[in-house]
Amino acid sequence: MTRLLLADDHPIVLEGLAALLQAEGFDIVARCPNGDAATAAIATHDPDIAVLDIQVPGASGLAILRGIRSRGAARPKVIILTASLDQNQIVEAVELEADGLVLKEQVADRIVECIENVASGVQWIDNDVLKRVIGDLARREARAVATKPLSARETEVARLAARGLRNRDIGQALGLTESTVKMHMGNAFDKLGVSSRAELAAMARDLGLA
Amino acid sequence: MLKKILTHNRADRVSALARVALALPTLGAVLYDPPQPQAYAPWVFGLLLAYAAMAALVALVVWRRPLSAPPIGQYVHVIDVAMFGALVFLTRGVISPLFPLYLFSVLSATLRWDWRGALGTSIAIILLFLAAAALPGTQLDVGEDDLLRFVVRLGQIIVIGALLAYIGVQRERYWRELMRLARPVEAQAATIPDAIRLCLAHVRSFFGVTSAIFIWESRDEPGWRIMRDGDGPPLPPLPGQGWAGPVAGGVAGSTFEYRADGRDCRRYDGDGTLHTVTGQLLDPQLAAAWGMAEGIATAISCDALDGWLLIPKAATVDDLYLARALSVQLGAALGNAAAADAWRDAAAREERVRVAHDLHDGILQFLTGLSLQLRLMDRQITTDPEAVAGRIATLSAALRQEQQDLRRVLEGIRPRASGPAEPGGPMADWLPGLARQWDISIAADIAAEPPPAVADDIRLITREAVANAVRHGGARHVSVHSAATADAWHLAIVDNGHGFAVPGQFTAESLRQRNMGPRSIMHRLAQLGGQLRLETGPQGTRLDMCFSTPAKAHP
Repeated sequence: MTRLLLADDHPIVLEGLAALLQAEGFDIVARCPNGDAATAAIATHDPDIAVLDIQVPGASGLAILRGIRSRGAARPKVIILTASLDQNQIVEAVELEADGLVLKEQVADRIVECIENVASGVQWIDNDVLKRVIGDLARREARAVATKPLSARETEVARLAARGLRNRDIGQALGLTESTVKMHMGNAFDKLGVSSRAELAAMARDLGLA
Repeated sequence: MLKKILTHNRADRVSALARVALALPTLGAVLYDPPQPQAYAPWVFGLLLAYAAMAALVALVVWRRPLSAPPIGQYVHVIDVAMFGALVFLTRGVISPLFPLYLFSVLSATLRWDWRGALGTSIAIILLFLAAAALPGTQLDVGEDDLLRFVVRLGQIIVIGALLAYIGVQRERYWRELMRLARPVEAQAATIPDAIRLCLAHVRSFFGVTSAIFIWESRDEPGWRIMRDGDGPPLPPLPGQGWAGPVAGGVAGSTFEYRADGRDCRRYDGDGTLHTVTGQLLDPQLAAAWGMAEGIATAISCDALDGWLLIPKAATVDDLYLARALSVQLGAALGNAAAADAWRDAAAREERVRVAHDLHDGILQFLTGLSLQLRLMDRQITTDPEAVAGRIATLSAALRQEQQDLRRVLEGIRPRASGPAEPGGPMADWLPGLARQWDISIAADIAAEPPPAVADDIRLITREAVANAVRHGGARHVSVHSAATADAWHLAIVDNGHGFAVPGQFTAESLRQRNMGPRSIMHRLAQLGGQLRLETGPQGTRLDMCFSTPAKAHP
């Protein structure tokens, strides 16, 4: 019987998931309301598969996955559940080679299939997630090809500007004067073909900078 | 009106002192050296004695009266002129040694009524002077240079009267300009460009010009921008990146005049001194393209931008001073507009985040849980119909609760016409929903409902506190207590989680200094003017909040 660890901070989801998977014949070894509890339970229970919400508080699902990958551990396999519209997080989960990736809106229909595939060693990524990720990566690639590459400093400035920081705050964060920040921002404007901070922020998000 | 009262009363006070200072020495001089003709000397002495007494009395009255009291200067001024006329007549008319007394009348009238006083009093004195020359017993004796004295004194009155009338005109103009400068700059607008447009309209009205131009560079975005309010040729695009702005270096922050013909101009740096400028400070080609053959350029700066205001107007020195003063006002107005814009932006961003959290933690999770339950019921419907019926009942209740929560979220999004949002009902009604949402137990001890003005915020604060307790503290039980005193409402939320990483007792200020604590709760409390005390340890966390309530009016 496949041994599962579940981590989600929303009790209604956690309990519903546990009830469904138990009814499907899986062994639920731990139900964790946050990432720290999940990390501890992984060490304690050594589950076959950890089903983790991507935004579970404490150590997030991504952080736990990152930790497992950095250790090079083969166990547990990790399925990420996501309700997030943040494409960057989904892309990062794919880059970290999550064993499974399921949209929360599809979880009732697809979690069993996902677990079965992952348990048998097949990476299973929700089709809808794949479409989103591929579309997003294609857009980024197209943008990156269409625009000149930013220098490291210009990238930093663009990233902080996209987060809503003013030039003075960016300067303090990077140890630059306001006029230097403005110069880098001007270069970023030119290279990306934008004419305002709002456009720069949108472009930085498109390029995965922010 | 205020200007009139203040000016008149101050002038009355100064004139009253000057009158005393004039009357007493004159009285002494007449006593020591009686004037000719001898026959009128006692009359002259008597009149001066009476005048000195009146001067002292007027000074006493004027200095003891409040500034806002009705002025009495016009009556005293008539007495002044009549008295001086009589004294001059009694002391050999147009060659009288007391003739300089007239000058006091003109000066005090100028102080009080500006050019009207100077002009009217001068004319009255000229008529009295001519009458004195024509009256029997005061005819001129050409052989003793009397004619010369007559002409010189007449000329004195005319010239001094005219000069003082001019000073009066200038004084009135300064008052008008002061009043114009005192007019607030209405630059509150939805965007910075709109605020600049309002500022330019203010400039046009202030200087009475048909157009005004502002060229600026945002401190946060590279590149110069230009805007004109009023008439003029179409504005050509500004030079691209690398352009240092419309004004030559070395004059940053100053105000100067511009002439396309290249003649020397004046520059004012706000240090009280005018400097002469040779050469063109403004790019002549651009100035021509902007339709400015001559005018004033003044720097405007605020936290959000640096720019140059161009006013197409032949400049006087006064205009430069005024432009300088106005630029400071406009900088402050634009700074305020930028701050309001940033505040609106931050508030909108915060609201979006709040709504996203509400939807993510609420309806989205519920729907996920619901779909899982439905899938489970689908599996069990044939094998365990009784369990399915029980689940359906539970889900129906949860659905109703979720509908109520969603309605509250929507009420929070909807713009409010005025006043606070509709509160979400008594606390006892919505606390069970939080307990269900987070699958914990909540004990409620509600001795007093929150004040209506903060009721909706209290619901959001409680919701946030419970979510934090469960998500970050792993709490399984939360207690909510409320109480009211005469002037405050208190809320305590206690959980049995494992507390913050750093145990202890904190205020909102100490939490901010340590960069820890429930930020959205602290932010919301700060907006409501509430106070926070947080106590946390391995046994859990306690949040104590206090909100001032308006004191009830006593009958």
